[in-house]
Amino acid sequence: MLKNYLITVFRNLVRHKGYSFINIGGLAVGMAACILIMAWVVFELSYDRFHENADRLHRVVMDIERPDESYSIAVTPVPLAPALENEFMSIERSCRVQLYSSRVVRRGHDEFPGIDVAYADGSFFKLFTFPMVQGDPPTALADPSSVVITESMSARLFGGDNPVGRVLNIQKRDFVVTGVLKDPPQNSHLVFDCLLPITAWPGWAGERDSWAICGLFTYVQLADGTSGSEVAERIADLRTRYMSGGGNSRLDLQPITRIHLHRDYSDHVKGHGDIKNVYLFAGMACFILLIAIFNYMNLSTARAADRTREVGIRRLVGAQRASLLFRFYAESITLSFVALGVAIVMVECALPAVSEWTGKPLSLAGHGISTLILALGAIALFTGLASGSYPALVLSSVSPMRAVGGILSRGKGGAFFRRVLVTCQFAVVIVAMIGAIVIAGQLEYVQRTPLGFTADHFLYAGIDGEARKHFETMRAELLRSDDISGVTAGSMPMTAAASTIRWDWEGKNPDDYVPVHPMFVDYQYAEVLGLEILRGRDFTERDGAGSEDVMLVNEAAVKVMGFQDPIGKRVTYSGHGASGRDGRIIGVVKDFHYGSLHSQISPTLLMLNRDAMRYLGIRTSPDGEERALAALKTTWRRLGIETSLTYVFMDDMLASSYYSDERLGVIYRLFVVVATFVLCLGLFGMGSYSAECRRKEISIRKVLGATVSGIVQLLSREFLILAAIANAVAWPIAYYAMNRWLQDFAYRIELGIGTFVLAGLAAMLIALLTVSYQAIRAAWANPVEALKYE
Amino acid sequence: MIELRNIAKYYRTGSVNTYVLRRITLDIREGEFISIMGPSGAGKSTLLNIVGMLDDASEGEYSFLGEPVHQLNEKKRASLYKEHMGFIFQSYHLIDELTVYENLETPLLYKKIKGSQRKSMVCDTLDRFQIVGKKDLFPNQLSGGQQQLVGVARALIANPKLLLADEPTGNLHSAQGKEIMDLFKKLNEEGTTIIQATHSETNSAYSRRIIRLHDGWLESDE
Ligand SMILES: Nc1ncnc2c1ncn2[C@@H]1O[C@H](COP(=O)(O)OP(=O)(O)O)[C@@H](O)[C@H]1O
Ligand SMILES: [Mg+2]
Repeated sequence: MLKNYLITVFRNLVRHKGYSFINIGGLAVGMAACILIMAWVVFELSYDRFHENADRLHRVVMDIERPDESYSIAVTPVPLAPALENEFMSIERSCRVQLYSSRVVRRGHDEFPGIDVAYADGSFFKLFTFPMVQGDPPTALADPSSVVITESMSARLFGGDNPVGRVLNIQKRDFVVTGVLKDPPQNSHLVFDCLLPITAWPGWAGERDSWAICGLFTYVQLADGTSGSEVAERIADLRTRYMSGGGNSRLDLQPITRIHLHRDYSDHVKGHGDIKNVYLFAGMACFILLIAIFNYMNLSTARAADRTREVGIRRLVGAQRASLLFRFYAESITLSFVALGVAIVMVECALPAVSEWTGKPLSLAGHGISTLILALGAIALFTGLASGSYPALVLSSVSPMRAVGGILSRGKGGAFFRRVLVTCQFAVVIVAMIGAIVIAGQLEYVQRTPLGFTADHFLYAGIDGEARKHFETMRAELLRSDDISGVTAGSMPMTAAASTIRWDWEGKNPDDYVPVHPMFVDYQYAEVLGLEILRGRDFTERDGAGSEDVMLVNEAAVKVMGFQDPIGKRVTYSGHGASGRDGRIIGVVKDFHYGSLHSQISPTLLMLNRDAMRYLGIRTSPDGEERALAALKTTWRRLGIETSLTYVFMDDMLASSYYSDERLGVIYRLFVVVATFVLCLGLFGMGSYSAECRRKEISIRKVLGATVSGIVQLLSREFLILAAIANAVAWPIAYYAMNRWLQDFAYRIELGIGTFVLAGLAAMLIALLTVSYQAIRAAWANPVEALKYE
Repeated sequence: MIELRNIAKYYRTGSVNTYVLRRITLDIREGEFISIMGPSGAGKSTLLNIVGMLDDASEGEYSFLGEPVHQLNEKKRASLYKEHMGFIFQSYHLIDELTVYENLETPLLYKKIKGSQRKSMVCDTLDRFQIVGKKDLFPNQLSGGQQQLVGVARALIANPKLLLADEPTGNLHSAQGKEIMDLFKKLNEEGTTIIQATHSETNSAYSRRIIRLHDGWLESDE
């Protein structure tokens, strides 16, 4: 019997190839898009879940309240970890971690730049699941001069040789390789190439006993069965108990699995994701799937009327209702699973490209994905049941004589239901389009925001390592070039976010803890970067000769300090290897953006410190970028620096920092296109079906004198009305959703009515084009043909 | 075999009942060959459908082989129909997606007849109606007469006691119609009870009893 049914279904599919293609193909495209997006979503959500104790791991974070502002930071003082471990039974272990990105490592005379260094306690291997392939985890970091490297760093530095026992020079000290660990998985927020004992961290000596300076990350593993929020409650005032001036800070715990996607605490961890985007894309995935399912249900229901005759005949030759129910469900479920199969094949083909494009290793093998496919199986089943129900229940209950007589007119059945579905589809597409416009607008806005410095014609060269010794000579020589108008240096490029340090000023309430971002810079920094000086002056050669430290502050810092005129005021700061150093403010610069443009500008200290220079900054003449670079290369070679020259133009650097945002924007738009395409496919199918059903009516109208345009109107009107209703539904939803999305940006655009009108019109236009193609064809057809045919 | 007592059928149009059949009382014995005649709209099809249990009477009693049909549930009726009746239509009603062979096989599938037996029954029928050569063709590849022949073959494949035919030759030209009628006659002689609705005097001449309907009334029974 099943065979008999399947034969009928199959031959029917072949006979109506166009519809079958639209029906199954549309569903498959929708499912494929959904699986692809969800593969990315699942990957984003999988961050740091690979640790065996993931549910018990937390990062200790700190909230600082001030009368007018509050800060949430992820860095904590050095003595916090042992104190937590000693005083709280519920904290099983702790581990301090400090991350230094992109350092130079020396092996003998060879220098290797761009290596991410992590310093950590020996408990690192107990808390986290980073398996070692060589060496002994409990003792690997026991010796203060030991270093553990990753497999890929081992391959880069030692090729195939055994690295264990070899010596590396990192941050001016020698370390012996004691082990090799597997590369951290890509879904780890902790990214590093080598791991050193925390005691080897340059800031260790200055900060080891200080409760005031917050300079590194503290991770804890809670005892089994304890709840994070309870422990957080108990540790909240620990810091204030140990120091007098920490009155306004509270400690808290952040689950390790939140770190990647939630930016509730500012840190300098690379490659943060954003939960907003995860929601955005998950929503998109559901939308596309929904549109595809609605299409499928729509077309199946519409075409079911064509099966009336078959149903009638089957009943006449003895079929019972149950058997016919089975027949329709079997058909629709089989087809929806065929679509799922096609979708999985499509995904397999697209995955490598999508992985490369997103920079994430996506696969269908992941744990979450198999769940997803199971879920899609359930969805396919549901789609099949839902779209099979109309024909199954309605047709099989029609009396057979009515059925064979075809009294049930084609295309009429379930018309209301279909209109509702089409309206929903339109609404979804309109919301998605408004989203695309707003997101693109916001992205562009962020990129157009004045940065407060001049990014064009500026290049950075890394001088960490041997090259720093030649800094003075290099500077003097470069300045002689006609294509170079200024040379300066700094501890980090403007696009990187610094960690924070503690600072105090005259008249500050000692109980207040206010974090500040330090930037260590060279002479003429403001001038060369194009920072605007509001008061006072820039750093000059004279300041280097003086005996006291000097600094520039930004407007945000002035606001926090509350000085009318900050020039000449003294500031004490601790952190980054300094403790209780003091300096004098010589100037105020206008606020400028650095780090992420997602966040507000916070207080920043620019300090003259020529020992901390890691990047050379070169301002070139507008058309002399290439010649300036050539001059730099010549100088580099003449000075005999063996480290290879690494350089980057600031505008490229900025572009790449927007790159991930921009890429997401592109992917989002791509999926809006897919959603629209699937909708069009459905409209096209419905349009041609309704034109086909009304062939006879159209012919009679034409014979009676109707014009082509009149007939096109007749056929398109319904879809336009539905599109209009959809706009009314979509706008408030889109307004609410996009407002929420924009809320999280420190600098954002306003939502204008134009966006809504544009998206609405676009949807209407697309609908009109899709449907009217069929309508025009029907209207032009020779009426005699159609009537003869009937 | 069939006893109809005061059968009436009406449709509600607005607030009034429009009668299509009125107080039909009729007895039909096994082995009869009956023609139901009357102008278009007289109620012939309606009566045939009621007898074939494809439609319910609004009033009256109907018993088939001693079973009170008007009291049976849907399932019981369907099985009575399946066991004992075959139906032939004016417009053939073959399933377009199935070949001749598959169309013939379909009723046997619903009767849950096993594979090998089913195969031999289909082959016998193909032989008997001399359509072996057409078994792999689809309905739209056959002429009207050939399609009706398949329709008749399908109705007869399970050897029903009662064959109901609603204007079986209506869409055929006279030569094809004659073939079908000759076939009916032969079947009747072999013992099949036949009731056909027709408005052709030529066709009714094959039968041994003619029932005339007019506006739903039983006019004559000869
Ligand atoms: N579903 C229905 N609703 C209302 N009237 C119907 C319906 N089916 C048939 N009729 C009416 O019943 C009458 C008899 O129909 P039918 O039995 O098909 O006539 P015949 O087969 O003799 O031409 C016709 O007048 C027709 O209009
Ligand atoms: Mg009739």
